Amino acid sequence: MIIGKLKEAIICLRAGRVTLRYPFEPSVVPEGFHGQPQLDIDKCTGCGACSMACPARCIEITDEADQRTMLYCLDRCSYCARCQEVCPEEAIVLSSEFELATDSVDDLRVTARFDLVRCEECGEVVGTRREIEKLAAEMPEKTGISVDQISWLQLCAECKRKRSLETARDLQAPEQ
Amino acid sequence: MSVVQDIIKQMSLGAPGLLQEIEERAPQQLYATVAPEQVVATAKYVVNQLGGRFLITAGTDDREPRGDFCVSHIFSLDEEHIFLTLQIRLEPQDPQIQSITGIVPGASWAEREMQDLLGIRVVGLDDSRRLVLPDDWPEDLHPLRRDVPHDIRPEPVTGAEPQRREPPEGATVVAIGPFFPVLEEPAYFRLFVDGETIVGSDYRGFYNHRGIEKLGDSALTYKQVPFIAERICGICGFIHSSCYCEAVEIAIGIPAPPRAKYIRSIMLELERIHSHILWLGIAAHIVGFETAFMQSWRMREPLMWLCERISGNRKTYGMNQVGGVRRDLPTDIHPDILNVLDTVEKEWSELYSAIQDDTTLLMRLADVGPITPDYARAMCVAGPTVRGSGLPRDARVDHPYAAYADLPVNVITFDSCDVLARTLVRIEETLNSIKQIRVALQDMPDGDIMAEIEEIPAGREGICTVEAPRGEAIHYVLTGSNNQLARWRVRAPTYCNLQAVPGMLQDQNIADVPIAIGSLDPCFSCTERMEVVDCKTGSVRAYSHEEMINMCRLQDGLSD
Amino acid sequence: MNVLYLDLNRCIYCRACEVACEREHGGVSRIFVTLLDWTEPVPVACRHCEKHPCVEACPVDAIEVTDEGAVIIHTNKCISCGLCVIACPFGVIELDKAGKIADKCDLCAHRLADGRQPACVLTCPTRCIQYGEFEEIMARARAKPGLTLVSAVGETGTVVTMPDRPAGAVQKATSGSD
Ligand code: SF4
Ligand code: SF4
Ligand code: SF4
Ligand code: SF4
Repeated sequence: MIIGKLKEAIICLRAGRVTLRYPFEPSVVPEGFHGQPQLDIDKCTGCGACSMACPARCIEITDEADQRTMLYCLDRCSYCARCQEVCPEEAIVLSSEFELATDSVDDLRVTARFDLVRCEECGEVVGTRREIEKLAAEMPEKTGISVDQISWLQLCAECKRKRSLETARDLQAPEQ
Repeated sequence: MSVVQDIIKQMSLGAPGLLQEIEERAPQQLYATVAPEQVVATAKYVVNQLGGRFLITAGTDDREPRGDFCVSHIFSLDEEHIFLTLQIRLEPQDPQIQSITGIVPGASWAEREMQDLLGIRVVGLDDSRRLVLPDDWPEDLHPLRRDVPHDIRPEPVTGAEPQRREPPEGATVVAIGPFFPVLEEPAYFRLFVDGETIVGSDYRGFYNHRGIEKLGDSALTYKQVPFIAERICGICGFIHSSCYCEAVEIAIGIPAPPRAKYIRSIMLELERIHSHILWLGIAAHIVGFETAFMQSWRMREPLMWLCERISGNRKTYGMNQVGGVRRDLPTDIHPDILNVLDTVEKEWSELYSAIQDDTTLLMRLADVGPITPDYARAMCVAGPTVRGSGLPRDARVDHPYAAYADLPVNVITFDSCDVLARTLVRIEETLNSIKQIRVALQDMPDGDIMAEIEEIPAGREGICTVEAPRGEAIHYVLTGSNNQLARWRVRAPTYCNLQAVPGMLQDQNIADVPIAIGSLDPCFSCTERMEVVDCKTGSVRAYSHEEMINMCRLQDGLSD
Repeated sequence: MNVLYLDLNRCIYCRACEVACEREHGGVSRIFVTLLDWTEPVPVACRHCEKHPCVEACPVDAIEVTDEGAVIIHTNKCISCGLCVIACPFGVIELDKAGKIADKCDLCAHRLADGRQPACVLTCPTRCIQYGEFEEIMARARAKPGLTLVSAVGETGTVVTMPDRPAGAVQKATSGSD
């Protein structure tokens, strides 16, 4: 019993003070730390993949008139880095920022706005201008379909179905 | 003949007329279809003749597309390393089934839960009060049915009273909870005491339902579920995400690559180490031994930093995904892991040797909170709780997952059946975990960490158990279409351990209650992962007028 | 090489194919019976194109062209960015908001794998959707008097025929809506 107590005393004395001097000294996070997600608005196309992937549903998308608004509610973020993993533009990365205490929740919200393209025929949302411009730029080279043939990027799915059938019907091109 | 075929043959021959069909839907996972009227007889056969150990019941609303309800009683045949599931299909109108609690008393909660959440009436339950739903939840609304949306918030029923068990004649009620002190979690024990001796008890929990299962099979996709699974428990979350991922991998027949499996094992063992250290601290704190509390928590901290370095997060690592892990464990981090492990091993052994003949501590732990092997078996308890009763049950050996088939798992048992035994199990397990990580780091194969999975087909079933620090966690999945699960059943280890509390406390001294309950390392919130419930109204109602008066009476009684 | 054959002349707008597809794919149909000029029903599903813009658009290579020429989305790889939806010229991909994946006709790959016909083919009461060997389908299509082949995408994908009609009539029919 006494020996046990002595051993305990030695453990305590040897450990000494273990509390860190933080916040008087900075606390350095390791490489690869999952801190607050940071959005690079110049790279983001507003495609919404991150919003679909986020398990905490932090990223809300609303389409209104000719604008898409993406609201990043980082107060809900669980630092899982799924958004970083899926983003095709590498526009969202988890930073090493962890000192997030604030007295205003707005400090943890980021809003991004994008021009929307609506369907020429019916006005349904097709996508953001950036997405469509990106596709229009890549498509001819990748598929070998010439630029002037690519006419469907400004149409919604339903109008594309109609338009493609009508075009086919109107051509009435005999096969041989 | 393989063991599986042997069991199939035994069941078809030995239990004639009991089975409609039996098939092996995944390796080592048998599913037997049983007619509703044969369920008790079949369960009896499985328990008595095959030595089956009941794990959990999963009820499924299969009305769309199959047109019925399905009840799956999942058993483990430990020696054969087989999961045997009895599936009973029930009529969609007024589904009901015979209770198997006569054979397996530990099935009581599972059946009551199914009654609450799916509206499958269980006939013959000795206690058919509500288990999960709050007292003021409407009568005919069963939230796990598929036609009930996950975000439903019904009007509370007014005038609903908590269904309490009455104390025996002459006993006084001591209420602990609904916010359990010491562990700071929601749980409500009503102890019936005669003088200082406990003569009975009643438990009401499930105040903290977060609707996780429902979210998982209605609002989240396969790739989102691991992250919510990890949040089932704040201490051993990684076991739940591993368990879910492995269950899905089993269901679709695509295992994670070997390297990913090793990484999972390493993280699981790191988690076990820091959880056991944390537990020792809390247990010491409960009995007022603050030195051990402070020192063990100090020892734990470097492990947390290590996990942060490995995963980017201190606790909820977010490393699991169906098909493997998202982060590798590069070689340059191995020396750091080994360093931390060396320090922890040294310090842990020192602390162990310092406290092991502390007479005060031993007096608080020895012969307290007894769970006999028979009672442990009947209540299906798990983890250090069952191993402290001398039974060598450990999912890492019974149903090897991750890389455990290749690791030196030593199933540690003590047979004094008391709190001390459970403590020693945990202390020695920690040392064994350190050994396992060393071996895993050395043997870790190279290669991919994520399997290529193109599609998750619908209608596949998978069961996985993972040995959490608290006992075995069980996940049952039924895959669905549209990138979502059709059913996800989670059993946290505390679920079965808590059911053993009444027997454990019987005839004990009231002063020993906190450490006895604490010795289960209970995790109330994990147990209560199920339904979307208005917690506020639930707990407000539980504090009824009468209850308040009861509490006052108790104080009067003490001052007399 | 097997192809899907759509005879745009025979559809009676019963939409049984949509229901069949829906049942087969967990509640979302991937075939769309589209009405032209409010009167002409035409079933549209993925053409499994040879110059598949959807495949090129996908940033994570979730869309794959199988050896049989079918263009298939691997749902477990899809990140639901929606680019393929915009890129597809025929409007047959839709984003499934609940499942958070892009969804389109996969030629009922799971049914074909165990030797059954695609669900829509099996269901269509007028046999306006058929599935079979390319040469055989082409032969049948050519043999039918009064039909014009409007789309045959190489030796893979979908063969589509439409009724012949006087050019004038078509002009008249479409000029109104243009
Ligand atoms: S996934 Fe990337 S590009 Fe797409 S919306 Fe999110 S941040 Fe922007
Ligand atoms: S880190 Fe995870 S929780 Fe946070 S915004 Fe990204 S996906 Fe959402
Ligand atoms: S989805 Fe559209 S672009 Fe892709 S193969 Fe089908 S029809 Fe062609
Ligand atoms: S929605 Fe899915 S399949 Fe379509 S482009 Fe994006 S990732 Fe690829």
